[in-house]
Amino acid sequence: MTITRSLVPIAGLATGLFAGWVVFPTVLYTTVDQPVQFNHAAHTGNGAGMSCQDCHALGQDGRFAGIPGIHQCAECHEEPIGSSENERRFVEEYVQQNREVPWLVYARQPDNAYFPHVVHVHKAKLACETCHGKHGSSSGLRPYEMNRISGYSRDIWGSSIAGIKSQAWDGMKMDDCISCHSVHNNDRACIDCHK
Amino acid sequence: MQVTRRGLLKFAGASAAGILFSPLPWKLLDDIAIWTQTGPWIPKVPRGPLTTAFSTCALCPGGCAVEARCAGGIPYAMRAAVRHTAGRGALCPVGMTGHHLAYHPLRLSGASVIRRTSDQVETDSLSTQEAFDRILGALNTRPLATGVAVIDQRPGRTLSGQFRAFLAQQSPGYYIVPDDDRLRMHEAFSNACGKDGLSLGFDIERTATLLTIGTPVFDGWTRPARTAALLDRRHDARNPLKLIHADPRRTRTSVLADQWLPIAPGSETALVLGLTNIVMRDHPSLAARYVADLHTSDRRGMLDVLSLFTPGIVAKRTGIPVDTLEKVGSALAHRKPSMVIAGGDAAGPIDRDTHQAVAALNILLGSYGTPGGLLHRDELPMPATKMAAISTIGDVPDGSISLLIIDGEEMTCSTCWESIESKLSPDGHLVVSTSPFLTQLSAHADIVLPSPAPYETAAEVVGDPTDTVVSLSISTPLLPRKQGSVEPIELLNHLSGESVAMQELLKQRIALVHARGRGMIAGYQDGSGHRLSEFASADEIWSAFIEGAVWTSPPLHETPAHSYTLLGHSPNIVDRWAARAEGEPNGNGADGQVILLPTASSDAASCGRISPLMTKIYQESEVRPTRAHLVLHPDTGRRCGVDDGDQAVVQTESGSRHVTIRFSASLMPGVAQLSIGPDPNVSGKKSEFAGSDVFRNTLSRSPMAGVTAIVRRA
Repeated sequence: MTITRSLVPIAGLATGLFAGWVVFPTVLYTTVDQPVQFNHAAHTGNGAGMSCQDCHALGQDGRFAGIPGIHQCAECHEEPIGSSENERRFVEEYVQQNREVPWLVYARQPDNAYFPHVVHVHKAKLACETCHGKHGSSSGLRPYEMNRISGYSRDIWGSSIAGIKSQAWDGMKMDDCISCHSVHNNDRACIDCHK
Repeated sequence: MQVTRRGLLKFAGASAAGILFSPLPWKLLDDIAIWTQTGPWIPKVPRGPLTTAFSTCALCPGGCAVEARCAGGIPYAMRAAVRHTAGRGALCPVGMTGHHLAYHPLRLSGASVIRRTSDQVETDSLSTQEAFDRILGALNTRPLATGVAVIDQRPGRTLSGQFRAFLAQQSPGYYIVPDDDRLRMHEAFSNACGKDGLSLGFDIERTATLLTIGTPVFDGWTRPARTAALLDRRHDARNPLKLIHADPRRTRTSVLADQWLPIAPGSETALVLGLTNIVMRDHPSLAARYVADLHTSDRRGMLDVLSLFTPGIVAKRTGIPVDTLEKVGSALAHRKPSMVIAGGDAAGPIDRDTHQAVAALNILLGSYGTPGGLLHRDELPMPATKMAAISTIGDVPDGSISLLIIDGEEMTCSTCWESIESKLSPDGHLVVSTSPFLTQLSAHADIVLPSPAPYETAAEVVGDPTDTVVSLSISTPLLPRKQGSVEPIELLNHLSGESVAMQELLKQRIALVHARGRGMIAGYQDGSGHRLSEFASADEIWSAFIEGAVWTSPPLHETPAHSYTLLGHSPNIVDRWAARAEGEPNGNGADGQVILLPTASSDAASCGRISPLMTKIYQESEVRPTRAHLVLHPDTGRRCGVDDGDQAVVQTESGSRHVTIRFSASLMPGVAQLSIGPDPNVSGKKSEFAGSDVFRNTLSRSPMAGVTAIVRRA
């Protein structure tokens, strides 16, 4: 009886830990599939040999174009290339109907954060992988994990629910920006990012 | 196994402890905190094409050119337009957040009646037509011998001309402008030169030695581009600037100047006259050139009074050593061009006698009318109509105003509510404000007719008043005008029974500029600008203005006067100057007594509301001292019985204020500094004005003279 009684708090502790470490992350994030699959690897490197900036271009005025519009995809994909179901659907549902793909952007920042790509890419000479990881060599798009409370992508917080970074690109919160700026001895004012 | 209440409690407690050792509570807090930034009340940047628009910042008279980055046609970021001559790529932090003001929480959504309760300022809405009718009723039924007044915080605009034309038809009608240092400087030079209507600018770009008397040249006195250029010139090998700043207060300019003269409070006149004495003694050629032409009586009086300001006496009065005074006098005489600037601080104007002494020293130094000194500014053309005379609040008889319209929301010391209140008729009055925000002077009004927020309407910007170059530009609208806002011209139309559109009036003024054919028009693509003759019509200039161009006109080449009256025809000025040779000692902290000096920020923040983002930065960083902090030397503080961080009360003969003590060893003993002016931390609350009368009696004195105050622990 004594042993059983002493197990009660241990069981409670274990339940709390299980709820916090296992149940909570599962409940917190909901996964949504991208509207259509996209193979970065087929376009870059040994695939079509394109660079990141061929599609995610920086304009002459330094403005980042973000995800390319459907007209840019249509330059090559006016007709399906290959016979995959994904390709057929992409061309028929989006390219031929001139309809933009409602991509779910893993790295989308809150509206109150202003991030100039041009300064980081051209001036600081940061590689795309520094913040976006190996996204450019992925063969498919993983499901978008959306935080049910904040509505943001899990990529903003990082893969570890505890907030422990495994890679430089794992997490895109303000703390991550600040720590990188501190490492490069480039402390900035609030107004630089919050316009 | 039996489930007991104790067992359940143990299980729940342990579960809670387990959760505490998991990321759940911390992640939950972090995610919920984001709701404060994503709530429905937070303005959202629309999704849409990214574009660039150009305009002019109208938050202060500086008129810096801005480049707005827009999403879906709505600006989300502001920065300086790099190649534009207006601003030359510089913009202050307040200007960078100017597009936030349309969403300011204290913005009024329509015509409002103001109610002042014990601790809040509240509003009742009424229709614009009802507000117009009440104001018209007050105009038509006002008691005999009482008049109508307009306080114009931004004189020189086309709208200012309309106000003056309207007031010229009233009997009496008072057109009131802030009683600032610029006005007093012009008075002093007009007195000395015998010329009326002078308009002078400071050619600081070419000055080699600059003595500033309390002028915050490095902190918002002029537009950011000029400030930055001035800061750079301190280290310029070819064209170096030596800035000597005299001020009993520790300000940013004191810190950044090449030399700070921490003069005793109220000793600025003695300093100027002492330096005049040194210049005349050591540089007889200067004295001969200018003094020989003086009227005999004037010359005798000047020399007599200067004999009272020997370096020894001035050193005793100001607390500045004799050899330092000699060196400053020598620098002014030798490192030419040199110039002396007095005042310009938002804490209040310097007294007229000091301005007269500064004008005399500038004339002796040859600074008046020469490059690197004070140059005559061109005048902005104004349509010729009968206009009310320009006056200051001090010119208006007490109890004589029954209808007061306050245009703009700035509350400088010279137009603070205490100075206005006594001018209102005790038999009934109506105060109308056109501020878009419920704050500062608008909180004292009876009715507020909110004008459009910055960038919601085409606002005229008449340029930096300290510059020798006169400019005119239009702050092009970047945002849709909010429903319920009222252009001040609409109110004037209703009162005068006319129907004129602001845009037509602006076009008329631009036509006058075009007809004169003087100056240049510079746009965003071509910073060098084009001559007016290159524009075939005024409509072409208007089109350029709408795209963000600015008209500039260089200083006039007027021949300086040959004869001066350094005493400025001012009755008894010799006696008043002589009295400045001896002064009151600083407070020594005994019995808690100190000399209390007001400080105020002179940048765009003092001209009105600032973005909540800037409020947060100010609060967290203490970049700007708030009204809640009393700064004093540690020794003075200990003698007053207070310590750093203590809550205290500062009491003057006119009021008291609760403050938090801040020690600063760089402040001179016996004085204390207290910030005045708008306090964003308490905006919209009646406490914004609590304790604002501690400086009421400084209005007739220089802010550098201060007032005697007692500091005690709360």
